[in-house]
Amino acid sequence: MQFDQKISALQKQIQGYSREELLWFNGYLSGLLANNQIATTAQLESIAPTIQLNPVVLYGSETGNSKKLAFELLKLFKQNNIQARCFDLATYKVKQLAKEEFVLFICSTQGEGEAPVSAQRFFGELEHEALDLSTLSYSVLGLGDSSYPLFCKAAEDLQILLNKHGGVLSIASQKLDVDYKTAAHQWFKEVINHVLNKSVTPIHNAVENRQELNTQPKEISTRTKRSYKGIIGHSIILNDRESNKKTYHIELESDEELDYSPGDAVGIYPKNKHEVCAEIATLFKATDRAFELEKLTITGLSGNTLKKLEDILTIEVTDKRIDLIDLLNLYPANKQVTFDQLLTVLVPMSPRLYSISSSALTNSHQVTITVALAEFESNGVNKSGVCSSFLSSLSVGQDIEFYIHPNSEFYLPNADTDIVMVGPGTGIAPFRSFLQHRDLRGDSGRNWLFFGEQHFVCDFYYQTEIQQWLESGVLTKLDTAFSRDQKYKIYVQDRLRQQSKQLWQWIESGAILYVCGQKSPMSQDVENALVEIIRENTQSSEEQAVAYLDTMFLNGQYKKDVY
Amino acid sequence: MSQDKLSPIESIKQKSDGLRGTLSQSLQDNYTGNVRPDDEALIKFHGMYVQDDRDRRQERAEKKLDKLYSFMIRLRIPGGVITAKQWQAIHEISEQYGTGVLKITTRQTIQLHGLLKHQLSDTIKGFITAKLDAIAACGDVNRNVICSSHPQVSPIFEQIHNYADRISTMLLPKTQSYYEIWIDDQKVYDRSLESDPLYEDNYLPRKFKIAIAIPPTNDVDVFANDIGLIAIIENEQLIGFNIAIGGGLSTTHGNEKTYSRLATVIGFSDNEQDTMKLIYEVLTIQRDYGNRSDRKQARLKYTIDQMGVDNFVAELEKRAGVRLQAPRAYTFTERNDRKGWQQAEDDSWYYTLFVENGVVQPNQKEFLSHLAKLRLSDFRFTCNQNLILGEIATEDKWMVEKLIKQFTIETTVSGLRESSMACVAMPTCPLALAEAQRYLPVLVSKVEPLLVKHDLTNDQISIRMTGCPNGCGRSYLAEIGFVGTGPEQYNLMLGGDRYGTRLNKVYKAKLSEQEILEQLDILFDRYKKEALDSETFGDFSHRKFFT
Repeated sequence: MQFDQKISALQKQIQGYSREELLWFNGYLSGLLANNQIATTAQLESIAPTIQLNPVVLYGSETGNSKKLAFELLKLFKQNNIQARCFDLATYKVKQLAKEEFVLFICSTQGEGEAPVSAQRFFGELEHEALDLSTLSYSVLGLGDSSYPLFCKAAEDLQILLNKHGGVLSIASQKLDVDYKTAAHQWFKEVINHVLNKSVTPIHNAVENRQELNTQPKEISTRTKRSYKGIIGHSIILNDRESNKKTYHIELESDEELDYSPGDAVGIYPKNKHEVCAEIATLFKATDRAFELEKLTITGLSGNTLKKLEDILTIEVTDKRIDLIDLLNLYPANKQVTFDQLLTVLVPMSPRLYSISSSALTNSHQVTITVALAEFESNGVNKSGVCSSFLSSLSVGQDIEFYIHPNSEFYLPNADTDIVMVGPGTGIAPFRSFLQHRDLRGDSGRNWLFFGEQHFVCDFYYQTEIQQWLESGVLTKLDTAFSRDQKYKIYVQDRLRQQSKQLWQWIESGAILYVCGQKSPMSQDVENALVEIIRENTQSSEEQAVAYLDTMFLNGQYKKDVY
Repeated sequence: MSQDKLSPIESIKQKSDGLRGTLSQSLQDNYTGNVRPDDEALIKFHGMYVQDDRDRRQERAEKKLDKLYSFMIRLRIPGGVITAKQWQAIHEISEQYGTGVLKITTRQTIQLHGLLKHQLSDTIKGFITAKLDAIAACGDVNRNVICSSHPQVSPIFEQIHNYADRISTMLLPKTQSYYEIWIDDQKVYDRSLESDPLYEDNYLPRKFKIAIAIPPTNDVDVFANDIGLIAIIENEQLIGFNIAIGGGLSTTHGNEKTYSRLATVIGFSDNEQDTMKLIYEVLTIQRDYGNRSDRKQARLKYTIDQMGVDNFVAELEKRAGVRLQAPRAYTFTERNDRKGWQQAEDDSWYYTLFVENGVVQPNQKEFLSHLAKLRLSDFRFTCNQNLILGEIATEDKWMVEKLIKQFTIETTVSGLRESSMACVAMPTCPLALAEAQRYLPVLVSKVEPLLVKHDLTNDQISIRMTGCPNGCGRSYLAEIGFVGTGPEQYNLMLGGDRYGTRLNKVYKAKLSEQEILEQLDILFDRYKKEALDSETFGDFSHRKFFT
């Protein structure tokens, strides 16, 4: 409780006051309270103004100065309880501008008056697209070097283009020289004041809103599986060229409002590769019916299906697990079988689940997943996972059906609870969702992320977003383990061990510990590390530590989403 | 000193606690491949620049990856001479870290590109083991001291090389932070050793370059330096130096106050003690009077022009307590390296290897690595970005020849290509406006047919390209100079002489490749028809267009 501190602070404050003065203050405070003229803590928490504007910060950066300023501004917004978003012009779609209300541009000028290379696509589109920006208000912070003749030309151009589309300049734009810091901070101040002035503080509404926001997905288990029709909005490999991996960031978009919480998964019905279906159908002289195989299990056959196939084809298969096409090629059938007969023994593919990597608060018509393309070798042939290769083959605009799979075991705690997230590889997916969600909700709980992959340079998933969360304070701590960047391998469990003391402090103070990613070996290795950490910090035996971790799991302080 | 507000770099230097800044923390920042903004300025003093692959920015941004930051590290090799063992160390380090490409710079040293932040400490430790360092190879300090590199031309080479070494040592910053940050991570608590009467706590206002030329060779481009020493030799004895000050090539497009300037010869000094004092005090005057508010006016050349040469010299003589003598006569009649085998006075052999734009090619790298293991020669870098294998004993020569054959090192190139030079530029240099190192070889290939057409194949016309007006490729001292103004666009500079004693000027601005080739075709034709006897292309264009 902070009450003791407040009492001692008060005692310090009134030291040396006369009895008369104390009595006077006593009466003064009673009066204030009686007339509701003083905000109590409970009210103070809820009195936070309802911000009417949701500013967006867009930066175009060549040397990194604009980006740095954008992040500083974002941090200031956070400190003022203003929900803001921030994007690099390199990735921002011009069309989106029409949907924004208030945009702050921070943009430098290069060489002979050009915009930064990364922003030139944006400038081009802004010039040529037909846009109605009449509901957009904006301001531009230009960075430049006055020793060049076309000082801050890009910022000027930007303003001209925005005005052309009807954008409204709401705060005077600024052109800053190489020594930009002071003037930038002045502009920040104006921006913040502008947003705060547009805000209202209706206490009752604020209280209601807050309660609503704080509601935890307790009713989660009652939510049912719901299917949606959507399209692929965007798909990109997060790994850079030299990586050994291909991990896709895929955005699924739907006209419908998507109902999901951080921690939930998306269910996808995969389809087999058309060429393979066609090859099989042709073997049964039914080339034109290949599509009927699309949704049936024809890879990694085992058990029952395999047995049935052996029966109808009267063959004996020695493989324990085999793809249908390989089976047909390796074990020639001893009996004529029709395509229809084949279909009777094949079973439909079950959907695959992928942890959601976005928050519905960002865009309620969108859900994103983070999918590693599974590539492996089987009998000397390169194969890939059915669903991951299906997803990776989809291009933007293609239709896709999916459903939301609620996860009643893996969800965010109360807004003020600290969390530790261990998510190497695609295990980062739900934690991106967590962080987006906590960021947009303005949760006060601290967030600590452990991420790992092979190489820093090419495998750091969502690096720029993580940087932004660190800068704005949403992410309190980050530990990374890139296994192949040094002579000996380093994994997330090694980082956990290195942070033993501090991690223990977080756990003791109630932080929830989340692990997501591969079950084997990652989650076991992490669990072993956790047991060691508990032993070390509680001086207990291994059994005791294991029991402690079990209790954490049962109490919901340790949550796993491993696969 | 100027009363204007100090440039931001000045306060970074002053607050840096002996160039430490927050570099140690920056190395621990796990979310970025870069160092913190202030440290970007400080890391230069430790011989490194942060760069990012500009070709990859857009693609990586879409992948939600930060820029592809990496570091360039440049060694401090006064006079450009290292042992075979040291070459072997550089070779091995380059195979382990960075892009694997070794680049010989125009200032007689080696730089490695593409080192990732987490590899820096190991890289520097590797260099230290080989007695190599990168201290002050960049930054607002005296940079690598260069000197003529052809012992076969002059027997006093050894003496001159020692000068380069002593000058470099005299002008090193005193801070021990390099070792603290990169080597042992042990805090230096006794800072009395670090007190620095020369650089104090704000170092110089800008970079500082020193070169020593041994006439008749001006391979160092002595007049492009803040201080140029011209060795004066009588009866094969070094009798002293002409001292030139205030050279510097870099300009800024559109900034009228910036200009290239050749160093002014201010006098002659006949003994080592005086020479060293004079050099030292040029730096102290620059430290005290140089412009610290506008970095584009901060080089020594502006300080001198601001003060007036006479006033500067008076102040210099006062500070050094030395009277300068009248300069002695000298002539420069060559600037290129002498390719192939040469024998020096002491009978030892020297083999000069042509390295186009200083980028050591894979077969060259393999050859050099083999050779280094045999310990038959030393390794010398020239200011023309070539490499000399030096001090080869007559009885060992055959082994080197055998390797040269084995790795097909011997190539014939045109006089133009041999006389070409380019800076790094795209994709890594943050200043580049246009290509240079990647493009000049291509352009030369397109100019060569024109030379054939006009029967100029053997003419050693100097051609240099630099990706921005800062002029690392010393284009301003070429007979055909290119200065990048934008993507695929260059100013064509003409009228410089062949030996680096006269600056060229803009002949045509902002030319495309097509326009460049058209212009050169016309120019070569006129040169062939209208040149005077033995008039070089540079002298011809100077006479025709700028007098």
